[in-house]
Amino acid sequence: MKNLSAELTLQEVRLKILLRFFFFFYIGAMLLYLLPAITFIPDFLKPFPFINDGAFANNSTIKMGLFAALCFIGAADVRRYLVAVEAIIVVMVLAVVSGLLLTFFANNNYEMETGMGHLTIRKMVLMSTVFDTLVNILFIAFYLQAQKARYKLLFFSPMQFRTLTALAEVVIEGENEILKPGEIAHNVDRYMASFRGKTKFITRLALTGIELYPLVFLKPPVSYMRAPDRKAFLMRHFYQNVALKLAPPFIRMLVQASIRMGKQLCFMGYYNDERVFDSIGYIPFSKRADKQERLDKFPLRPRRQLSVLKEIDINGDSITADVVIVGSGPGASILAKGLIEQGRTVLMIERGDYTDPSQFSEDEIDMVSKLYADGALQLASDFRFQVIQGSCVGGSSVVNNAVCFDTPDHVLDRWNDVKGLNAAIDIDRYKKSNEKINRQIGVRKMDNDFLNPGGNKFLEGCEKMGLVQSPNVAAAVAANIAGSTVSGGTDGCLGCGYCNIGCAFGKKLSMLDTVLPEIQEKYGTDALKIIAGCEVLHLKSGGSNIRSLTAKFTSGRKIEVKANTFVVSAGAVSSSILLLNSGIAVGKAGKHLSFNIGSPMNAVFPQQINAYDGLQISHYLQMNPDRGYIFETWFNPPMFQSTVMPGWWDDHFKNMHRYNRMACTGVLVGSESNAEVRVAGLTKREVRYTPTKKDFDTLLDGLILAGEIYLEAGADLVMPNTFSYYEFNNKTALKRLKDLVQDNSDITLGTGHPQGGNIMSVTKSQGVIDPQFKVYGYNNLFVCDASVFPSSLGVNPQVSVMTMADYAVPFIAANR
Amino acid sequence: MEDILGAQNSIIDYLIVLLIYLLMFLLIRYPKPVVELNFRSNFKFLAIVWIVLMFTGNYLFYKLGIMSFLPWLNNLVHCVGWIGLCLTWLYYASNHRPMWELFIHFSFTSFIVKMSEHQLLGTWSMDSFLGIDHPYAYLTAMSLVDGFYPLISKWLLNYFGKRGKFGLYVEP
Repeated sequence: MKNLSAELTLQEVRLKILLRFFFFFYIGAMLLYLLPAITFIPDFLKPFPFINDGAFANNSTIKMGLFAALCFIGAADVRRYLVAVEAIIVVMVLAVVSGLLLTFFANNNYEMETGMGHLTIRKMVLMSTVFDTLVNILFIAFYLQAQKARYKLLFFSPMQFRTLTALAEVVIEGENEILKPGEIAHNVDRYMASFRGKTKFITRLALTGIELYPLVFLKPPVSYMRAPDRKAFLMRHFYQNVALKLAPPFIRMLVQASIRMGKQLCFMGYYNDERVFDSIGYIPFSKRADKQERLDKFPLRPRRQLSVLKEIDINGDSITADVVIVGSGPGASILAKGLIEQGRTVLMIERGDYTDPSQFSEDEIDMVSKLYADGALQLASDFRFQVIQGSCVGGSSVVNNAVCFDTPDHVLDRWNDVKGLNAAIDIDRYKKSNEKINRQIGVRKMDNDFLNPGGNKFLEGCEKMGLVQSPNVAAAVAANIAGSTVSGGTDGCLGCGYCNIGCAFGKKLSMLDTVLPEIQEKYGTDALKIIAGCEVLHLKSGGSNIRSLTAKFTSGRKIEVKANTFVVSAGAVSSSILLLNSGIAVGKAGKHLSFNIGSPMNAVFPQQINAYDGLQISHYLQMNPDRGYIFETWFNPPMFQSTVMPGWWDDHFKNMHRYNRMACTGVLVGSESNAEVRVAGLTKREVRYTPTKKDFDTLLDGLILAGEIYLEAGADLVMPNTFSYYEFNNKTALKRLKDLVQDNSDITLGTGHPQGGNIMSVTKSQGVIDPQFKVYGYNNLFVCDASVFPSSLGVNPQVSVMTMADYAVPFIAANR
Repeated sequence: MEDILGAQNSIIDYLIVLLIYLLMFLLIRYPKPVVELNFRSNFKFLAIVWIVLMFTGNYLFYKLGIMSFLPWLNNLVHCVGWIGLCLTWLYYASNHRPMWELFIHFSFTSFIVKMSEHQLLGTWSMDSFLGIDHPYAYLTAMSLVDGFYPLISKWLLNYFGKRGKFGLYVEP
């Protein structure tokens, strides 16, 4: 049954009334122009000769008649015939533009006699233009209000919403679609409204661009096209022209970025909806058959409480502290612990919000909005490289995979190379710190827990290819996840697969669950204060002494924080941005940025694997001698996985519908330090990065080998996350990947591991900090996070960040 | 009015002078477009000290017969725009270089600016100076005086910085 009782909203009723009013108005105006010209002229109009002019009357009658007709049709059903209102608005805009042009540039400006004196044509056109402008403003305002109210839009404009709906109609394409395009668009609108972020407007720009791009080719906007025409247009201009590099590079970059964002929004809206889960063979942890069994085996542990200050808790505009740490991630937390043990008191200021772990859920979008915010939308300046970072109390430790690697020896050697980076790290003391951190955060091999079943397939392939023999390492990862080594055999990971959206069960030993509450428990909340939802804008100095910092709450309220010692520990990108915004380390801060660049290889198996049902990153393969990459098996809940799933249109839909037969491995390459963070671009937070040929080739080598491993393990086919869609079902075909993927526009690259930017070096001309972590030229300013790494690690950096923090404690504690 | 603008000078002439300052400033600023946070107190200190010293000095030395008269507006824009902003920025951007190099650098850039002012405003003009009968002897000598800017600035910063005055930063 169709719903015939759908009521108009109040705003739509208002629009209807407006249309009715203008219908009568324009009918009246039409008669006013028409009748005098055919001699029915009332006395009061006789002084206006132009009204009697037949040609004049004809044009105006047509215009007024057309508007009246459009108003009449629009008012009949403001939902069904909304296009009539849009037509009025567009024509009115044209009328205003034309009026302005005629007013200022028309050649013929003769005067007319009226009953009230002389009137120039210019003045008459100007008055008419002003009138049209006012009427159009009324129409636009009523139209927007009606649309927002109709769709109950929270974030997007009606046009962007329509674009998203239209996009969803063709992007999510397959048999038995569970959600309607409008529902998908609504899901996305709700998601975008649910978090605060400075970069959200980029999604609006992308949708507006997609909507209006057809106008360049004299075609109607995307949402006005029929679905088949729309798909054909998108395929030609957003897919083929990009894939075949037919469009000019700049246009191609924008078009590719827009469609990538548009697609991802659609996937998010569709695959995060629990109504879809059944259709793709996904079972959320809360509904898995063995959930209780797992909970019985590894029962939940009581969680420690963390005291976090919010804006309301801060009195006055100025506060003082002993040590201020900007950030609350792994490095900042270890540093806070060490400094407090040395008798200092610490104030942490975190840009992200505090989310109590009791609020962690299985809803990916909800958790992304709470734990990532802007960090989920961070893109390099060419929109081809995503830098994902957590933005919450506890930082990346809350949303990472908890994978732990010691700092590789060859990396330490490179850092200390006196003819190169020359970081002058005391290797013995650093290694002691590394061991201490491993003990402290409970790092252990994840070999007796609920691991990602896709990892077993990967290991199987490695064994068949003879890659597991020493000196290669192919094994379960080490991670700081609760387990037998820290709790006597009754604790372990439940394998819910939600590491990246915050462990709701307290098994992942993030800073939120361990170090931060432990400090407050042991030393009191006066020793460690944490302010959340407060962004540090810049530091202020008197000469070489930093005196205070200015921070801003989300409400816009600013506070000044004075302290004896300042430590910037906000991560590679944010720390660099803070220094640059403060005018510190000018010419050096933000440079030498590097990453562990990653790209996934997906494999489809004939049988069900349910790779989602276990620890997200469970196994790794490290080749010896080092080939420049490592492999980490990786799988995500549906929403995340859909955004890295290869394929367009029905290919993507088909792939998502074999989600439970898929396994995935990420190839990580420690990049060269050729990237840079700048205060530039639309977001004033620009990452500039293009992979070097060497790094790119290394990545492709890794992807080919990963594909070979899966094919060896019995995969039907393997798929890299390329822009053009490719499936490979044999090793020979897979070798072609190097020919098919030429540069970073052909493949999706991303990272969660930015490093460098404020590198440590004895050489003052290249280092932002000295080997004691002090920023050159400042007495009481330190940087301690991944940004100080002189080069990329090539492995997950969490332990190295914490080790570096522990190593830094004596230097920073001594600064009083 | 002649005391303010100089004989036969118009505001347009001054605007051209300011344009030259601007172009010089862009060149000077090019290698270091942002003043480092720890140098900002130094920058303000040097700019203010030099503006005050040069503005009054130019007039006093004229009264003493050592310098030619600088019209008031010329004196003002020269001291604020050139000495206060441009030369202080030049010092910030280049103070790590050897002092002899700085001397040449400062003298030469000042020579360019003074020559421009001479051409446009007719100032920095004396028939002879220090016994040298050449129209540019005075202009050249005054440019060489500007070559001492880095030396004196360094001394000022060291002197006051080490005594903890004005929040100045002294590089170790």
